[in-house]
Amino acid sequence: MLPEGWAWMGDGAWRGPRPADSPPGALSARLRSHPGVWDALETEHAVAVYFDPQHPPAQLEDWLSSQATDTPSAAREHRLRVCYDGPDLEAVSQALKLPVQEFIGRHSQAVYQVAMLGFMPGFAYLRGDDPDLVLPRRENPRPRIPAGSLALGGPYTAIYPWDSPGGWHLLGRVLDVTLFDAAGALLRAGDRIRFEVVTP
Amino acid sequence: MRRLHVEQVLGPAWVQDLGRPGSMAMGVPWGGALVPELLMAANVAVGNPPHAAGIEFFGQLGLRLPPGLSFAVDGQRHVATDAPITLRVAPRQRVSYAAFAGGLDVDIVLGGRGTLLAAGLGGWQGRPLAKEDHLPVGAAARLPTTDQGRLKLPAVDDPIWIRPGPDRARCGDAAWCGLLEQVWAIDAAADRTGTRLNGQALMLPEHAQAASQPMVRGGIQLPPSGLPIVLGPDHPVTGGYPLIAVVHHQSLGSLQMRQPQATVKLMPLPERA
Repeated sequence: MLPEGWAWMGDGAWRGPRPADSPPGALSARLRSHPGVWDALETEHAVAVYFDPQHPPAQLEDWLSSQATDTPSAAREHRLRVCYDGPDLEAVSQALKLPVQEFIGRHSQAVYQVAMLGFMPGFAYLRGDDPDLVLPRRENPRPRIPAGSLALGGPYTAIYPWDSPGGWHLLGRVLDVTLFDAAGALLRAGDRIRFEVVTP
Repeated sequence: MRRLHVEQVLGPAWVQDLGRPGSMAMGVPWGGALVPELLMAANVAVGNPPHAAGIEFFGQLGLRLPPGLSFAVDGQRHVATDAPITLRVAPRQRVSYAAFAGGLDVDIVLGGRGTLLAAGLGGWQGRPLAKEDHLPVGAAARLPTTDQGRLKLPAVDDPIWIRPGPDRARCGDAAWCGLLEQVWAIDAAADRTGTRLNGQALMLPEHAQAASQPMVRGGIQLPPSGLPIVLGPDHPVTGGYPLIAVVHHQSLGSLQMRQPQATVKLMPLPERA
């Protein structure tokens, strides 16, 4: 029997609701540490546990009930240098009814937290503390967005770690940063990000 | 260090093992062989542990091997001589696997030796193999070579069993029935991230999209086009399309080894309690 709200995702995984008050990354990190768990992943509203289909772990309910004790890991902070010269900068400012300079000021002064990683290796969804900087994705995705692009999509800001297709609005470029290498992702769920504006 | 030399590559080929679970929180899919059973069979045939790294290839591969080295393609064992060899994908299959006694001794990246194409890491220099590459072969295998008596190999015409996915209800009954009723065809653009099934588009309720959710290999996503996508080993770890179903892990190999245009009939298993 699975806990309330949880469902099987095939024979080797479960998916359930993520408690809203859980610090980003904490629940999945703890789940991953249990024997018999091969992987765990959380998004803002859901969490999944992956395991050997022949041996589903028996203690999920116990694991979840101790989530109240999860504490944020020591907050790591990154300062990233950004050049706001993206092709969508003006359109985004217009859509948000802000002069371009004011948009840049507000976007760069907001403090961001990594809500989750997903989509592709090292792609971090950053949630900022300025609630007005929200814009639905572009109707027509671009076939290629260059690595290092700073982009806005819905309530999130992100930096593309790789060249890829994408539907987010391009605000500019992040300079001198390697978001993913053989050691893994630079940004982890729960990390804080501040931007420093670099003039083109 | 013994090395194998790549003399010709027709169709993509790259190093794969059985995957690197544990890094999804960094956006890293598990990866690993599209048809793990075939790589395991090849490894077992040459005395390797089943998870040793080999080559996943989609066309034809010309190699020159150290004389005397045992190698296997999908479970058929051979011994290399001085002459170059040409490996071809088995008939009716889209992909085959070559294993070499000792395994390919490429670096372990994030817990696996397979090529992580999206990041250009792992495998051989993070990329598909090319002419003139020379891959390191590990020390001779120590396990006794066995026939694959216990390993059930998938076949291209096995039934494909699926279970209802976590978003089955959100997709509506019409989509679920349509998924099971028709015979689907493998799309030509199938790759390691996913395999689209072509057929009559399924009708989705309007509110079926959702916020990004964790995904799973074998999950059947239903995008607004109504044509289902079966997630492969390099699938994006999160996605917003509903998971109408999940292919049973023992059926996944059979599905992933089918050629473009091959047919797929999905058979329902009950929801797990």
